[in-house]
Amino acid sequence: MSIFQRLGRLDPRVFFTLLIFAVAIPIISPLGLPVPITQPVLDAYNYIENLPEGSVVLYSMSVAGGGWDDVGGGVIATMQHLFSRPVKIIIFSYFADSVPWVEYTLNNIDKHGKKYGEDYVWLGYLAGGEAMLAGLASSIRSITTTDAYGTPLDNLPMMKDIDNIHDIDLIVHAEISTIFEAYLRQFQAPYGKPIILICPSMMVTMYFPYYPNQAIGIIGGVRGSAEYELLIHRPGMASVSTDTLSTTHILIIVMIIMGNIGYYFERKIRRGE
Amino acid sequence: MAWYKSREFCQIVTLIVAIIILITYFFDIPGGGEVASHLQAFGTIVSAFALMVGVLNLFQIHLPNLMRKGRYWYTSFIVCASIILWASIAICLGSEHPISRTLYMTVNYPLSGTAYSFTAFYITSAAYRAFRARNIDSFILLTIGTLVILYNTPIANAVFPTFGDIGDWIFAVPNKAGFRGVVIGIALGSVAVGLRTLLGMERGYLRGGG
Amino acid sequence: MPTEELILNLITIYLILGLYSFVFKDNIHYRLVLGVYVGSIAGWSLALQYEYIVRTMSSALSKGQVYYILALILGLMLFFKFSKRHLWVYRIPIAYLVGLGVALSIRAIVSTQFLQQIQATILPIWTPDPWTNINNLIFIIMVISSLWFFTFHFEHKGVSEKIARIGRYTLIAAFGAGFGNTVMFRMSLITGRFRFLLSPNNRIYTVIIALILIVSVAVYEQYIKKK
Repeated sequence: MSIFQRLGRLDPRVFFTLLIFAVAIPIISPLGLPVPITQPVLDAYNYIENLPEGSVVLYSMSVAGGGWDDVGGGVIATMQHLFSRPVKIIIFSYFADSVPWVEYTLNNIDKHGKKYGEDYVWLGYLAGGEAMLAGLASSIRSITTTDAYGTPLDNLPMMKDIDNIHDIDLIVHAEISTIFEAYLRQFQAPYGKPIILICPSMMVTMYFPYYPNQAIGIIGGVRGSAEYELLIHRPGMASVSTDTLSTTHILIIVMIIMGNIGYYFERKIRRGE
Repeated sequence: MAWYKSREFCQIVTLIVAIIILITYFFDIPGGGEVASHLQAFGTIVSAFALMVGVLNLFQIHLPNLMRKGRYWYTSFIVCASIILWASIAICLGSEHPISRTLYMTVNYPLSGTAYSFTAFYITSAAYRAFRARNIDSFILLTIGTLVILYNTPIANAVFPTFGDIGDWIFAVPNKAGFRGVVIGIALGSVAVGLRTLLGMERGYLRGGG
Repeated sequence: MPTEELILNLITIYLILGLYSFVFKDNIHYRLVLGVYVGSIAGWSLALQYEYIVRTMSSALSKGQVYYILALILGLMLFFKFSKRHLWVYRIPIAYLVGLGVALSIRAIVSTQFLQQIQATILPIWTPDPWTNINNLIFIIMVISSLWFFTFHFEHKGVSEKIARIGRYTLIAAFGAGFGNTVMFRMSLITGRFRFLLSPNNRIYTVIIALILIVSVAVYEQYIKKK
């Protein structure tokens, strides 16, 4: 039996253990390698950087717990960037699971003196899916008349002149699922509003056709989040995680190459027989 | 059977709601926008109830297993007890309460991330045992996949920066072209299925009942 | 580390390792943790839906919008799903939601996912930069051929078959890119979990709890075998 045949019959748990080592080593001993900046992330950064003073940004924070490790860095980085700009921010969640992460994000950024109610508002979880988005676009108050804390929107200074999509200048949508097309249908297509997308790595390829005409920027997964953190000069959780990408990805590639070399040799032996 | 119990009545409800939403979107009818807005708002409340029904459906599955002490009955017990515990705490204290938040960050979030990350182990095992370039199709899939993995690897970009340019090209040309075809196909399929639903040809959602 | 934080961390470490133990062997810890996972997500979701309904209804009723009671009635009709005799009641709000969902999606889908996509495909193939011209031409050919691949009304023969094959390879390349990114997604998630488990405060407890899990599973398996 050749070595490749032996490896092919190896208990899968050996491969699992190799993966654990590949993940653990850079965590214990970081490598600190740089990440090149890609155009979709740069476009998102430049758009926010060039927002005029007084712009209103609708931030859809719809990242549930399971995907926070992938896109959480991008959420914190974009939120930090927005708070450093002279813009107003309305935050809401599409999913119930995203609610604690809004509080976590707001507690972990420098607010640059922005005051709640005057510069930013948290509307809480808004149920209803695409119907909710359609309602938000026509009138925020048709979906909710209070913020997440129960304060009537009319009592918040910022919300006095804001009620529908026409009062919004930019939409930032962070998700962990496949709801982006609903935002395109309800915000971008009928009203032409620009959308910046923060999505998990595996959805980047599927959403790429919408860039740059419909999604003006895409911050994809941990790599996109790390790039954005570098752009705002605040390395965070995503930058730390990119080290393990090196070891784990090299492991996967070595496995693929070895597997195919073994397959090639086995096929040659079988053909010879 | 009474007319309001029939599937045809439900199809008429579907059609009326859809027509109101579509007409008020394409035509400027006085008061129409407000009606559509209220229908959408109603939809959000009904959707919230639908999610609650989905959760209660878990009891329908696990309670019988628990009562008759079926296979892994203790798992069913834990599921039911956890639902009641979490829901009670979050409803009574509020989801914003520190105890609710602590429960979420201690249990929900770590377990969600762990469950999502399971596939990483199986990808590693499958990388050696299953990802074979047996023919031209799998060869293209593996080659492009490997190049994208290298594009996403900081050490590979540091050693060989060309991987960055290759990756950018893959995303901008073949990936974008392929998924554009998929997106257009999905759009056409969705319109077809939507029209079939409104015209009463798709009745799968009305299954069940007398 | 404060005691409260230590206890919470120990619980989290046990839950994570309990769930991960499945990749090595199905065991009782995994099944217990799985039950907690399913129940906690469901319970949390239930509570948040309830909060949203109470908030929205009380806000609407306080503004005198009594007709929102209709939404409440429609929502409550969904609970007839659990009644075999009156299941027909459950179909009505479902019909409402389907009508709403279909209308909301198809009214804009033609613009977002069809017209704008086609517009974005019409790229210039005669620019000063030859590399851009080549890329744009390849791109247009790939989009058309991948759409051609999806026409199943007739058998592809000759030139048609060659175009469909280019489309097929384009789609395979796209899915290959998707596979590459999926690997990164899963690895980033496992990194997040291990960053917690191997953080300086938690490392030693991770090792101890892992050993306890291994020993307890081995002892339990022996007990079951003897039984």
